[in-house]
Amino acid sequence: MARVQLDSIVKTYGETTALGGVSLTVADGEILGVLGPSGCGKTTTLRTVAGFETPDSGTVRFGEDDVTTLPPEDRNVGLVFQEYALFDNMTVRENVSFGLKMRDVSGEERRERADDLLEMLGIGEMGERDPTTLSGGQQQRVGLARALAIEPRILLLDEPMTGLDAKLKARLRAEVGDLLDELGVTGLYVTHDQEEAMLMCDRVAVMNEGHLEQVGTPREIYEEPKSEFVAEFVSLSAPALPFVEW
Amino acid sequence: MSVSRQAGRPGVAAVLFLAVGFLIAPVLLTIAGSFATEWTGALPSGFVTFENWREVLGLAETIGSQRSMGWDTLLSVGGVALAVPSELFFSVGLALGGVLINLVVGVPIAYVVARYEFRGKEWVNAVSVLPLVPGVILGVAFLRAYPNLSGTSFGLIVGYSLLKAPFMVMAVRSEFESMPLQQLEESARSLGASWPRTFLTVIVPNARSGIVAGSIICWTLAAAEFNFSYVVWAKGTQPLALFLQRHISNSTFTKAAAAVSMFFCIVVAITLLLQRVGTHGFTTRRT
Repeated sequence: MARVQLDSIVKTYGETTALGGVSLTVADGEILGVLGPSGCGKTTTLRTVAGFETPDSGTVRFGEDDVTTLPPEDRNVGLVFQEYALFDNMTVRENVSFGLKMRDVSGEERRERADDLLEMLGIGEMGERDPTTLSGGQQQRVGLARALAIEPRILLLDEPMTGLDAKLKARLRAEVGDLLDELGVTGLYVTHDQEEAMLMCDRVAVMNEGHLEQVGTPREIYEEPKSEFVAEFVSLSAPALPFVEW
Repeated sequence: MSVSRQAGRPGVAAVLFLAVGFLIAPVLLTIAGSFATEWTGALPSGFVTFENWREVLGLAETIGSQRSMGWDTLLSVGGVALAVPSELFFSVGLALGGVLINLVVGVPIAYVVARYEFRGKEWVNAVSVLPLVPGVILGVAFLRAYPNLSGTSFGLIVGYSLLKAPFMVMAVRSEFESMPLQQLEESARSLGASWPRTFLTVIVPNARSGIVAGSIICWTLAAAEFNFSYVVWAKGTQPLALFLQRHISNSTFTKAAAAVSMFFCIVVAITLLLQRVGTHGFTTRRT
């Protein structure tokens, strides 16, 4: 894990500006939430860190390394998607150990590490299963295990809980939050769900129309919003926040 | 309300049985007829004889066997020769060759059209479906454009693949479109797989059901493609469709039944084979 730094990233698609000079630092071991309405540039930010988008200008640094032009397969980042995107042609264990296989880790070690991770995520007995037979929550755990198996420098989560029902969401939130803390994972957590960002992340960056509106701890964002947009966007989730009294 | 509920399900079942029965009856009747000596009325009579099959398979010493599929000795042990209908294999192979080209060309086209937005996408899409013209038209155009391929096996293979490519592209494309293609690809890339490796070990195997379906459709249609075969084929081993046509047009009803039944058996065998290769060839999962 390492500090990840975006410096004045600009990305345009034809006439549209997706990112208009975004600078953002994710500290080592921190989960930074990127929050905003759809089309605000949060997914483009994540894809820039992953290496699927090359910025028009600006730099991406992992620790001291400039990775701006490095292809995704050489960046060592973990990706977790809303759609799970599990490989249906492989077992759960093979999914989790795929990244290790690409790194030529021996079969025995792959198996061991995959089983450890599955155990840690509470689905230890499912290694032999076909991922399509798992529930949504279980599939998302497999996705997380697969991303963590390569010990990524940064874990990128793109709306990982959007497809799940409220009850499961609450449980996963607690479990996964604890696990990421325990492992000291550096993460970028993209979501449009204010409540989720507030509860899962150490700090939250609120984005709007390709710009950062505010970066701060959940409490700062909520109690001292720097703009009307932030105040309005965040207040929508107020009833669920634990530190709010009514 | 409750009446319609009570009647609904048996009603649907009855319609289904009738429809399936209506479709299957001719096939069953034909297979039965292939073992009969006579078929002059509505139903075949004079069971059971294997003479029709022997003639169609080229095992009987009759005039009809000239039209059959030359048996070659594959293996000879102590005077007992193991012969195979080599021309039959060859005919099956012609259609399989077309499928192979369709796989190599059609899967990447389907992938590109499903995955990327680009200028002229609709154009590529339209062109890949364009060969849905009747085989006789493509056959004539084909001979004009490539006179050297006239009458050659290679010409037939290329023609079959051209004619049936749209079915492969459509089947595989809809499969690609039903899965989170971009996310799958990006997951594999982020885990350290290069693009070619991602394509071959993740994307293609995840689309296996569409690929198998496309292969079966392409093979079956290519094997039964009469018009194109008739226009392009000149001499040598007959494509399956022509073999079938000769047996039907110049023979007794019962012998035609045997030829059709044999064709039916081959279709079933190839379908099962493709399905088996498809599910076991792609997966590393032990189930």
